[in-house]
Amino acid sequence: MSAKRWFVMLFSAAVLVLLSVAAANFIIDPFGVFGDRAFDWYAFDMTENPRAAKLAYIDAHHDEYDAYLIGPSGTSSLSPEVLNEYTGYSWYNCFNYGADLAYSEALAEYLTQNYEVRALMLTVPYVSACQYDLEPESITDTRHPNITGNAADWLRFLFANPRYSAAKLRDYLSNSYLQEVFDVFVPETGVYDKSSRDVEPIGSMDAYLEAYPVFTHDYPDKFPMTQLEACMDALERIKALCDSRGIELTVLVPPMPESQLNNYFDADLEAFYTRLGEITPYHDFARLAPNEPRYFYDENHYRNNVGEMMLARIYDDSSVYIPGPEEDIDTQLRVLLYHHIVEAGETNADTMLLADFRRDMEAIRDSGYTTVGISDLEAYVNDGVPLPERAVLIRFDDGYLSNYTLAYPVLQEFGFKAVIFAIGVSIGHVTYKDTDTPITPHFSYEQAREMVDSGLVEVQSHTWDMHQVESLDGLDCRRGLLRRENESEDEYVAALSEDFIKSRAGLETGTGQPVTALAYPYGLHDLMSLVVLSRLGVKVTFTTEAGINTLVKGLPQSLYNLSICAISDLT
Amino acid sequence: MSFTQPKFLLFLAVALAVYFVAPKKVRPYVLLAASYLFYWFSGGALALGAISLTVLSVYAAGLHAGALRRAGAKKAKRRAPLLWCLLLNFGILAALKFSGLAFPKLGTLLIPGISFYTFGAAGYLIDVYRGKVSPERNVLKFALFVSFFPQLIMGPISRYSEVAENLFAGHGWNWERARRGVRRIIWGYFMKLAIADVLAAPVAEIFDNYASYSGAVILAGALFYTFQIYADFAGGINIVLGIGELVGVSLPENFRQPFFARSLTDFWTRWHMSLTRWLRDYLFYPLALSKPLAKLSRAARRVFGQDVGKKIPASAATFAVYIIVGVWHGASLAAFIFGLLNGAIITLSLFCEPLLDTLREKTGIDGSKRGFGAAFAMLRTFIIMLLLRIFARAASASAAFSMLWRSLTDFRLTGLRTTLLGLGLGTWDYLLLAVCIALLIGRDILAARLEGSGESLDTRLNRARPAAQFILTFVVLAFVCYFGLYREGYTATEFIYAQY
Amino acid sequence: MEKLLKILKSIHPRADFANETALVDKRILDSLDIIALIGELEETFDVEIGVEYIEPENFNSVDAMAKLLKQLGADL
Repeated sequence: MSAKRWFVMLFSAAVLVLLSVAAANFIIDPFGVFGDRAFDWYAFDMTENPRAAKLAYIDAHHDEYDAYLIGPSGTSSLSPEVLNEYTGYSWYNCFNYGADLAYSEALAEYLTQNYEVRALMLTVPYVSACQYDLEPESITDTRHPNITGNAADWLRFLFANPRYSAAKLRDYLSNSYLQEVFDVFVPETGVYDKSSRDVEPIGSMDAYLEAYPVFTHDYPDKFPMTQLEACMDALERIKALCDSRGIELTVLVPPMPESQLNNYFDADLEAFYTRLGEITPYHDFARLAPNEPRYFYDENHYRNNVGEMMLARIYDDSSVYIPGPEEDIDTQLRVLLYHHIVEAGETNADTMLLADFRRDMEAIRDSGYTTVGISDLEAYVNDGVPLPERAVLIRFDDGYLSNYTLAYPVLQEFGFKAVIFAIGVSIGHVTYKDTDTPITPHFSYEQAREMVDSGLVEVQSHTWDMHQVESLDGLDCRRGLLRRENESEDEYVAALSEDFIKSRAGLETGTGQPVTALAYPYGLHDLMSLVVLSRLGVKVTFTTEAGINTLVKGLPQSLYNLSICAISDLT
Repeated sequence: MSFTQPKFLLFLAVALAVYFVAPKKVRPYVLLAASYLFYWFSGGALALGAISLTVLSVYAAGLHAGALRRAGAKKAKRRAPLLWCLLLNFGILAALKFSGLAFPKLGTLLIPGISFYTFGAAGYLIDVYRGKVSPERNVLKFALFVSFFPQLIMGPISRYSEVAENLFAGHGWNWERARRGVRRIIWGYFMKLAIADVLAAPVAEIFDNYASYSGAVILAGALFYTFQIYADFAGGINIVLGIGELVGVSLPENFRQPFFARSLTDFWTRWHMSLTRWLRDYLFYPLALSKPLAKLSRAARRVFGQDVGKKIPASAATFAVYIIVGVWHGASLAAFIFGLLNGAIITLSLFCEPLLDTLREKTGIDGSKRGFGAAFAMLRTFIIMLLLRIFARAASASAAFSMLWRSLTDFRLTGLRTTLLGLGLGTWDYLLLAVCIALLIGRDILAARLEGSGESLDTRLNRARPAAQFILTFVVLAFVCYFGLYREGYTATEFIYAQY
Repeated sequence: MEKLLKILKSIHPRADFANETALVDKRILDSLDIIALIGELEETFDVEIGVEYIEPENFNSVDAMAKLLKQLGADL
């Protein structure tokens, strides 16, 4: 090759390199800026750059929405679905972490100018008065070119670091059923996908603080509100914009935990509220639950439940429980676990003498404990209906006939409540499934209905057929409801769903009582199984781990993964 | 100014543009102006002052030495001005280097490249003294020789006789030369950006905190350092030589596939060649053939016998050379030990030659032959240099000893993978690195194969199929573009949502 | 000439001194070899080989070395 030709070749190779980068970024589109036509995976794009990707999403779907939530992270837990029910509009949550009033204003202008907007909801946390009009630090918080109007931004996205595109490919291949670090959004509503955190079992305050020490973080200096004027001027312009176009504007100050609330000067706060009140009516939720870190995912994000409480207050929905300022938020619950009762003969971990069972009941009564059922627990967390100070839940696993013949009369005698978790395939059986192998007999649906009708007993799920036994089902049996090694995620979700639905259908038809609780076979459980069950409507789950449970008002997820204790823990 | 800074590229583009546009006679002066400008950006007025002092003193001494020689003066009389000038310039160099011991922040960083240009000027002066070269009469041209900007900061150390003609010829644009030059420049940037800069952080982490790492990790760190220093130094040299090529100046090679060395002596004819060449011509030979050492040799022959005695001058000179090589890296005890150990091993093998010959015969493993013997010798040399290099990089001599000790006694292979992934490079980074190092080694293998044949690597590449050339160019450019343009500015998702 | 060849063979038994014309350029003789060689040559032929004579041209082949020795007054 001649030297001159070589230079031509060099030049073309260089051009090809640049074109490849541009092509990869355009096709793979890790920020969604070009419409993400190839993957349509906005959950990923929004995670990489929520500002750019959400705008791109709205550009493509704007005819589905006519109301928008805007603001920084303090907006993320307000549910568009709940808002749709209250207002009749079709809401989209367009929040962006780190958004300041300058960006909120730009976004409000963009939306109102280009699309149909009937209502806006804007959050104004205290920190909005501390920073204003921040410059983007990297491509991950660069705004969409449509809103900046800057043609050069198209080039910035086109020639962004190809690692982002490579990461998108890599993550696409490893995508899981559960929410992962790279797809933290739900594109259709714009909120965070908190499916894992919304089922995480919550217990005592101490345990929560240990797991999330951020709440105990002590800030050395306070944050002065240096940008109060700029922030409020922007808000004033937003208000004027909405007024001129007849758009309903709702402004609110989001809840913050104590560790954040203490970082601002009193004088600043006074000025903040005064100015805010001059511009627009607003809802102040800053001190909704300052001393309750369990109501927050972390320092800057209150939980979805809390979001629902806020919306209920804004739209005067008294059916949603909101704790009062001085209320006791939590309470303790002990759970006792029983299996099979016999009048005489051999006992083991799962088989107890009737006389001993009676003694346990006496101990409960003499120690001043009151028995509760599932519906009591749900009333506590959902509606704040108080539980007895010394509450105990009597639990029977598997659903043996002895529960009906021996235990139930004792319960009636003492007037005690209990919950029995029955294995679907074994209800009414004396032999194992469709074999002739005899097993410890289980009570039938009729017997269950009788117990339920008394008002003392609840019969709930112990799965349909996921409590298999190696000696009867073989070594390759389904021992517990966890995903098996060679089972794909999709197969597992289908199998677990099918099983639970069967179990629930059988019990609801058989007893006439709704099924919302499940006890894990063999106590085996993990995050994925809990997420699947929660999506099927399970509200309460029981493990076989030892511990005393703490239930929290307003946090239904504190009913997940309840532990058991021994009778000695009561006396 | 570092080669990888954007402002260097801007400077280079402007300098070259002015060079090619200027008339032939003016071009050397364009280079001189560019060199001084470059040096001013790199070291400020102090550096310019220092280099001008060297230029003027050596220029004057050169003229004087030439005049004395023509007048037929005696050796002693001719030697005086030479020694004074060398003393002045090397004195400044030594003072600067060793002041680093007392004031760690100072040292040669203040006047970058002072070692290189001092040696270069000194070589010229000695050549004039020896009558090999006639003194340069034009002080500006001489200044250009001393300060020629590509080689100013990192060498190579050129001989006046090999570059003067081209340097002052003012060569214009030539497509073939330009291809050679641009190819070398791109390859040099590839080595620096894709390999050296990537390895810098893990190497620093391991060497700075060696006490918290197992022996296996330390050895891995030494291996990384081997590749890092090669890619950084040889990569920079490629850029230097490439720029030289563009303006028609063929600077001497500094590297010759160093990992193919079969012995330490061989290694040093492949690594930093211009320095070892300089030391050989101006230190080793004069010292080894000097009268005092000859006397010592005779005395030694009487005491230790013929065989041992006659090797004394060479071994003494060897030690001198390698101690300088060591201290060249820095005026620290560790650097000194680095040089000392090299000298010791080479001297040892010199004295043990008969024994080694017998060993070669008995085992059949001969490094000078092809095949298994050669591979064995190369591996052995690679490993020895890898271990010795720890002294060149470690924070201190005691640190280096500790690191070596740990690699032997605390090897621990378990957890190596996790540790290596915790140094700032992920699996994908290592994968890319492996590909780049493979390219580097592949190029060296090709060059080594071509060495005997007389065909240069360039010619061989030009002969290759156009499609292959295109693919290779595309791949290398892709790496340069990726590592050059996107070095910072990647926020991994885990860090975006750190508190999520 | 034979004396010269004998000395060379003692330094590198296997090199082809008779025909090779690039002993230094091809690195068959390295700097240590040169020193050893010079030592032997100075003793055997009673000459003084100064540093300025250590050029590749003077040592690349047996003929070049012989020429140098004659130049220095050796009796070959």
